[in-house]
Amino acid sequence: MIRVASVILGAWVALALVALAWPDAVVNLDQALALPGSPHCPFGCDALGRPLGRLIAEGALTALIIGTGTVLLAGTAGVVLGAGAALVGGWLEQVVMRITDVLLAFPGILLAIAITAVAGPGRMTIIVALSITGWTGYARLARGETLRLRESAFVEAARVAGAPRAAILYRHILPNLLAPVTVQATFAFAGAVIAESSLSFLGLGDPTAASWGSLLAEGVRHLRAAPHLSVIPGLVISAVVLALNLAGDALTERFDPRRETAAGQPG
Amino acid sequence: MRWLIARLLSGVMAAFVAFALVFSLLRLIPGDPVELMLGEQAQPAAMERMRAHLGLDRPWSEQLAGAFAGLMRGDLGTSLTSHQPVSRLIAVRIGPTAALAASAMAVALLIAWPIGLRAGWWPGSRADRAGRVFATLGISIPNFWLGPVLLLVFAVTWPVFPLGGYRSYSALVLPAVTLGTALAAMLTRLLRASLFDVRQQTFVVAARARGLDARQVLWRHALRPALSPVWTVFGLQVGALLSGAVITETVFQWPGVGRLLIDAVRARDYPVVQGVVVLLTGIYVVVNVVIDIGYAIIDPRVRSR
Repeated sequence: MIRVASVILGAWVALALVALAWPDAVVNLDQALALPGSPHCPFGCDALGRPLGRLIAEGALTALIIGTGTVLLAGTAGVVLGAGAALVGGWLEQVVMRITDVLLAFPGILLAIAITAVAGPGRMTIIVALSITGWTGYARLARGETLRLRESAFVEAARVAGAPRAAILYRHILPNLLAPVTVQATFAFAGAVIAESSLSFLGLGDPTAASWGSLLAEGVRHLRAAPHLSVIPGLVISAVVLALNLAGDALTERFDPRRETAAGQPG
Repeated sequence: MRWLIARLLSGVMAAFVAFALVFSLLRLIPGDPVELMLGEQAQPAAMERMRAHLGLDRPWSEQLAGAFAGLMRGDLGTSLTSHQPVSRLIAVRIGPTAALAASAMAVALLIAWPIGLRAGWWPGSRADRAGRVFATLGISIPNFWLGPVLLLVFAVTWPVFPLGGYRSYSALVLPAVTLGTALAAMLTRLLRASLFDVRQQTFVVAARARGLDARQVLWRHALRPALSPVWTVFGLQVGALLSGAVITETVFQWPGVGRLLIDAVRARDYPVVQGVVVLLTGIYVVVNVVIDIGYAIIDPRVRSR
């Protein structure tokens, strides 16, 4: 399973890199809605006669940028705030955890829709909008793990040896947070890809770049004449999200063999 | 009883904090709604008028206080495009959304209950393997793709169900399946994992050792403790269900609150956007209070806490 996931994720990154080098798609109305297999477009053409393969590659780049951006921004903010809350304690911990509780009460996409409505669509808007709710998951995880690690013998030893708080955080706590945070980030990456395509499906994505979601929305308009325009982008999104979920399951098992997952064999 | 009152109060508090947060966030993020609404070439005077009309020229704290007062009266503002009260626009649309969400939940339970029970209680069985594939696929397939594919297969190729409309029961089937599948996958996964854990607990092993058969142990002993984690996460999943409804309604042209939201976003009708987000968040908070109360019924230990 993990091999299938790696192949899909590898292909995704390769496709995104190809999109960088590929010249812009040319409008060619003769080829509008051409079915897959036509000489000009092996995967079919969209309503403007642009090759679907080219647009999918561009969508791969968009998804990769927004997914990576969201995971980095939300992950960094969440880990710093969560671990910081656990280490400092007091009012900081209270404030961070209250905000987390309230933000966890928001359906993430809903807030992202509202934010893009006010701030106007764009890549950066989507990354920030998804991170505003996204960091809370990391913060909860980081706080819980830090509280546990803080009581462990090696952190106590470091404290007794006179290590400053920053050094304990940097040298002893953060490296041990890496494994659970990576697992969380993998699932969050899948969530970000779905959220990004949902937003662009609703017409709230970056209007200047193709996205899998906006391709799919365009395809639904031509469901009868050109079903490939909705089927292929959907397959691509599902494959990538599936690969990320499988990778998340595999990582969970790797880091914590006791926990059984949907992908693993029960003990 | 005391516990119940405390929970209700904290629910009301959460709803208010959520409201204040949505309200403030929409005003604090950079971006000028008035400029987006009127275009960049708009006359400064016209922009000022629009700002005054929306109350955006007043200080933020004053706006928030005004909005709170309105909320208490059930007044969510007035739509900029249709000039109707937002609360009335929502009232017309809430029925179809409720019908969609309820049927999606029914679909999810109909799928997750039989598969999850079998998979968790008899790990390694065929139901378990099928359940695992379904659970992984179900959370990976986005509903805005599942919807069009279902339409393609069951409305275009084999016209079993209507392509659109919302007045007949048959029109409800495809949207409900579209919205319910992800929830079904999530619940299957949870129910399986939860039962699998309970199965290894000593009281279950002891019941088996006393010679009770597996089915009896499942229904009499294992099911109740296995349900409490599932129930909690079910509450959190209602949020996903509400956001899913927004997308499903767009795919199927379903005349619910979700489409009202998307139409309002496209028309830059901010009072409506804010009203719908506040409403959906409110529903989510209320559902979770109800879930917590239900939790106390499933697991009596909670009440004494």
